[in-house]
Amino acid sequence: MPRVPFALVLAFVLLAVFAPALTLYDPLAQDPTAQAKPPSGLHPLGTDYLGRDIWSRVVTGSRPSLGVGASAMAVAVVLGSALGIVSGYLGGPLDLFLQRVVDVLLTLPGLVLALAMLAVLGAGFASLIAVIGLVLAPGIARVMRSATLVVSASGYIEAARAVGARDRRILARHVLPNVTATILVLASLAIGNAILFEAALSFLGLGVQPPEPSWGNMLSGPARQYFEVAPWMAVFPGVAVSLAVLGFNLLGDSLRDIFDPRLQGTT
Amino acid sequence: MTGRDMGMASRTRALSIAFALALAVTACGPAQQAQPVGTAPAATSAPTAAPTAQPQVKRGGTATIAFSVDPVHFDPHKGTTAQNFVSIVYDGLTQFKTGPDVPPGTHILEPALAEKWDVSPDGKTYTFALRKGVKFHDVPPISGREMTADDVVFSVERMLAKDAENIKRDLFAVIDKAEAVDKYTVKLTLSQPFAPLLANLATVFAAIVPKSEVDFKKVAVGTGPFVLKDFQRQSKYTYAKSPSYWKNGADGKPLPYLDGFVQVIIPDEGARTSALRAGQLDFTDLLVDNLAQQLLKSNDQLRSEKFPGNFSVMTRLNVKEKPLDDVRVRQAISLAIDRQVIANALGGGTGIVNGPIPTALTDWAAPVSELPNFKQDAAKAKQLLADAGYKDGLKLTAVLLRSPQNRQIMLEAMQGQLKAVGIDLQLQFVESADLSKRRVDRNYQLMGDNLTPSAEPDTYAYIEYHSKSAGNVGNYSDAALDTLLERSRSAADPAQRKQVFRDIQTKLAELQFIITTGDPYYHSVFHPYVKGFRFSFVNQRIPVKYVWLDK
Repeated sequence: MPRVPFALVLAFVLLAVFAPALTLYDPLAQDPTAQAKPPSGLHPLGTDYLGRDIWSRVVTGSRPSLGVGASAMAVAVVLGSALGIVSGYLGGPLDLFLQRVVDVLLTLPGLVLALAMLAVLGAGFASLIAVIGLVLAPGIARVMRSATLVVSASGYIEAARAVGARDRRILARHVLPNVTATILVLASLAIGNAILFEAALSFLGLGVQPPEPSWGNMLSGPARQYFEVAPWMAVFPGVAVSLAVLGFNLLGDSLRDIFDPRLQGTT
Repeated sequence: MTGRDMGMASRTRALSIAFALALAVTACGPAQQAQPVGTAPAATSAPTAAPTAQPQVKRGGTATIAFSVDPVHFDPHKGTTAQNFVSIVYDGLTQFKTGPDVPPGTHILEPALAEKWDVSPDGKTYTFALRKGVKFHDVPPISGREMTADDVVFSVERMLAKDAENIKRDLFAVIDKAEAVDKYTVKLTLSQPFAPLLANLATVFAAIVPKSEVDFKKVAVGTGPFVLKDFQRQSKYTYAKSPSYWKNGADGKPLPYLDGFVQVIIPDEGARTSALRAGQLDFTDLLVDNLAQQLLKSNDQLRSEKFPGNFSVMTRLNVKEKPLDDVRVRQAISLAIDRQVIANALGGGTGIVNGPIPTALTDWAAPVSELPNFKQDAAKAKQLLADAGYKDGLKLTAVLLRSPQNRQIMLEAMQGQLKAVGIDLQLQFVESADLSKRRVDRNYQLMGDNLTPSAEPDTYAYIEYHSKSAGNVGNYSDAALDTLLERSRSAADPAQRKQVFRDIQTKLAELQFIITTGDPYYHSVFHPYVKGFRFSFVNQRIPVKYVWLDK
């Protein structure tokens, strides 16, 4: 069943890893004899307004997209899980405080929050990863907290406590392994969201800066002026974003199905 | 870089040089005339109302047009990018002839609020006889009183105010004194003879406003053909016909023909074409060639007129600091770029290369093919960089706005072309307030920009380059150039003045303070019932007073 999402994700990962070998042209090379040309044998996805090959740009653009997506996911998952697990396991005033912070962050629309943070930090890969990670972390923290609450109430945690295990040992040995499945599911969903965020921020000009291609910035700027006459400039990077996000989201769904004991044996 | 990439790059360069040569051949003088300037291609030719056909004009109706930018204020003396927007509210002492029988690129000066004028033999005193009975709009606090010499003197003094916002002050700075001789006579005394005065007075920056405290952020009060009735910022500006306009139409009654005029703000070009197609707009101007072609293909009802742009999308170089203080570096930048490719990218396949004075000013522009440093020559560029001590390349940073997108197109193209000679150009997008501040503070290295369209070459020359001009924001200073620029202003004989401008353009092409690239071809597109519309860059005023609707 999960073959399609796995294949899709694998295809994008391979695309990003082997990008330099898969490009037909230098993604920045301008060909003045082929400005804004539709897809053809020479340029399978057409060329942009400066005669740059769209296929080569989409392929190269997969690197910042997936790279920022994966890194931001890592930031979000590490930060979110740590907060969620600690908050759920310890409870009490710390839990109350952390969850109110999470509430505040969750009430703000993610994109607005990201724009505000980027305005302060400035555009660039590092700030992009940090900002997307920070925006996605609260949601993960909330889910991880509830997963931890369930685990914390289990008999084996009580037993571990009864034999005198310290909190740190219980968290590392008993809580974490039992919420790993949730983390994996959240991670694959987060990467899809992170890719989408990267595209949105690059579209708004705060992400990857031209001339370096990214799916987001290929959709914005001059491509909009050309949209009606040369739709391929925007359609193909748009398709790439959609497929990548779809792949990671389906993967997340599949992982959830696999890890959910209630669904086991139903397929 | 791999071997394949290198091969690719050199092949690209070879092709681009061949391409540039081919275009250079077609872009020189005679071929330029073959390109119908301002006249529509036959297939989409508009039945433009010839003067003889005009007696059947129909009066009434409201026409709607779309604009991309919102005017910040309605003060004509403080230039903004949206100045042409509200200019139909104002008149100047003089104006350029506009209307359906004037092709773009033709600039005929005619009287406006001044009925006639005398110039003293030494060229330093201008006496204007004002038109009698011209009324300001019936808008508080003015309420329709007559325009007199006092208003003209007030306006001239306002234009000359040493105010940082008066960025077009140097168009008139030679005026020493303005006096009201009597109610209908104004005398302007100049510090030196100044050939472009009458043309500069025809710009919207010399509009006559009433002598009164007017808050131009809230109201616009002039003597023009339309009265600003109502507006919602970023959305819609509604005008009504002025009941007492001083100029008569073809039917012998006062202009304008329309009862009303509406400008809506639609920043997105795609949305503008959709609105036109849907009939929400009656006409649009400045539609880039490729978009217009597509629109005309999809709708055989629409009519269009094509004309070359004269904004000349360009990159300002700030020559205060290294490395741009070195003329060799600037020449290398100019030689490294392929302007035709940039112009084509701006226009979506077609475009026109422009030198310091855009080709659209047919009387003044020097053919680009005759200017030095305008033909791409990467080898020479590299040599110049090596001579200047940048054998290993150099890094430059350009600031630009995200919209209009033409700056990004130009600078991205330049980025690729400059890389081939070892210049690493970084783009830094900034907000418009930041850009304005950087311009005033001269705090930038390179800046994507465009020139202010005008009928008068002075705007493109003295204003931008003279070492003492307020419009010179790149620290440009060259004694020989200053002398030429001063001569261009004092030369009274048109032939002599033309020659001075040729020399100025050659000098500018050598100095390369501002790297001009080019413009798209633009279209005015309108529904077939719109008559009498002819786009004009001159005056920066949209000639809507001659528009009528045949429906």
